[in-house]
Amino acid sequence: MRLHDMLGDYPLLALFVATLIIVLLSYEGGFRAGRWRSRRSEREQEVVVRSMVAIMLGLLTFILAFTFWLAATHFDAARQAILNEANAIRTAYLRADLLPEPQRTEIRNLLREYVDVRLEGARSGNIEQAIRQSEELHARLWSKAIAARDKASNPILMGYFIQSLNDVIALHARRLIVGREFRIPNTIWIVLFVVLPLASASVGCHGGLTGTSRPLVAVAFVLIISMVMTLIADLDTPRRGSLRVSQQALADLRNTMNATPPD
Amino acid sequence: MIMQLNGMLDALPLWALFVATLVVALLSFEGGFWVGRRRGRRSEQEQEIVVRGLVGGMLGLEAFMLAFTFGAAAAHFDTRRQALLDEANAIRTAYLRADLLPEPHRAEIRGLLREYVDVRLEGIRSGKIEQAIARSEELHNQLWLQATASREKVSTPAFAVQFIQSLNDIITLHTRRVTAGLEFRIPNIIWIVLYAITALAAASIGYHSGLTGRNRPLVALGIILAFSAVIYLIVDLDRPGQGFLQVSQRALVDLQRNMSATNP
Repeated sequence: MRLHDMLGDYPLLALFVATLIIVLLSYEGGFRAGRWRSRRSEREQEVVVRSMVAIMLGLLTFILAFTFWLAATHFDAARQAILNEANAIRTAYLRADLLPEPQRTEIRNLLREYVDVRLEGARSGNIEQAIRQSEELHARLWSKAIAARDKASNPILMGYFIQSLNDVIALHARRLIVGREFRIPNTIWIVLFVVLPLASASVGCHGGLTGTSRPLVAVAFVLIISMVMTLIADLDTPRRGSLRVSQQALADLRNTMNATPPD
Repeated sequence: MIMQLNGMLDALPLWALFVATLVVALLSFEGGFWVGRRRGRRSEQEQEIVVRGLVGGMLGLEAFMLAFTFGAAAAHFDTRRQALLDEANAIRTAYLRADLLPEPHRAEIRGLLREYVDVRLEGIRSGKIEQAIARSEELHNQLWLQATASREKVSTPAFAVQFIQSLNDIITLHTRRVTAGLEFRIPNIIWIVLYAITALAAASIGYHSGLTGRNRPLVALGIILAFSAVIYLIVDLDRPGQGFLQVSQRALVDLQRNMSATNP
């Protein structure tokens, strides 16, 4: 099982709490190590540690920010794929007008069913079943289109419908890829979960070296980091968590289809 | 739930949002300052250097998060602008290609397309978006009926196909504009996290200044103002139809003028 699937299976709250605990524990570990070192050797230079801590924090910031950007891009791609799909289906639905009866009505009914299957899959979360049904519908739509070809008076109009049907099928494949593959790669998650404790441990170590009590600001720091991590995971799993890609374009299309029943 | 995914902040007008952001940040600063001053009195040894490093790290992260959210909002703004330009071009193409169709469909279609542009511009001007969307979709149906009716009479089917293609483009771009306008927004969860980070970072600056002295530094006010201004800018970019940043309707206005100039 891949890491991002694993992360996606846990509720986001669990990820938030886990990140919080990891950061706090590594901070505390670094703090104790720093205090211990400062007792043994007086010489360890605080100024050097300070600049290295700054670099660690800078690196952590960059990685978090770019991963956030990557996840936001994937979220936008998922939104775009739904919009394109709704448009392709609408175009095919309209162009079915160019076909002879009875294929016109049959194809329109199949396209309506197709939209229902897509919406139902997104609503119930039963993605695998929706994919299987969609692909069956592709095959049926295609055989209807071929059957219409033999009767069509006009090959240009026919080819024209076939083109839009191809678009519908291609965009189905695109949505699958965007949903399954456009995710933050495992390596990035692993690196994040390595850099994160290292950075907070070095911040803690710096605090321990200077021989202070634990500063209150560290709590704010830990909270911010955990929130950003959770936000990234939320953006990266469009089907789970608080962020779901809106299906409004498909729902609107379904309403339009109802308004124009086949004549 | 779906409806509440975006636009949590839409209830507030832009200026009120700016003031609210400023108030949230200033209160967090003040709270942090108060706590920091008490801590500073109690324990002399809490080292300012450690706090300084942490505050720097937090402000850096907040700046990056704001910058990337700004990038996303600007991209959505560009999408809206591009969709409008594409729409104007598609309508112009369809208007020209109507020439390939026989009368009376040609004149009918041109009249409908002229009305379509008027409806689009009026919808933006008056702010009655729902009404404009409903009327646009009626016009799509009427245009489509005209196109399919003319298909039977046309001498060369390739001409009808050309027109139908540009009509499909118009309908597609309508959906794109509606979706880009109403749904391509910054999701609520990002706003929640941004505001939480801003409050925590402002509190940390306050804590830092409370720890080191008894006066509030003037620069802190500058930082808070700058962050609030950037948040304001992101909201403005993200919110269609309000504020200083609005998609220009120029392309459609030009098209409208062109169409009335070539009106037979």
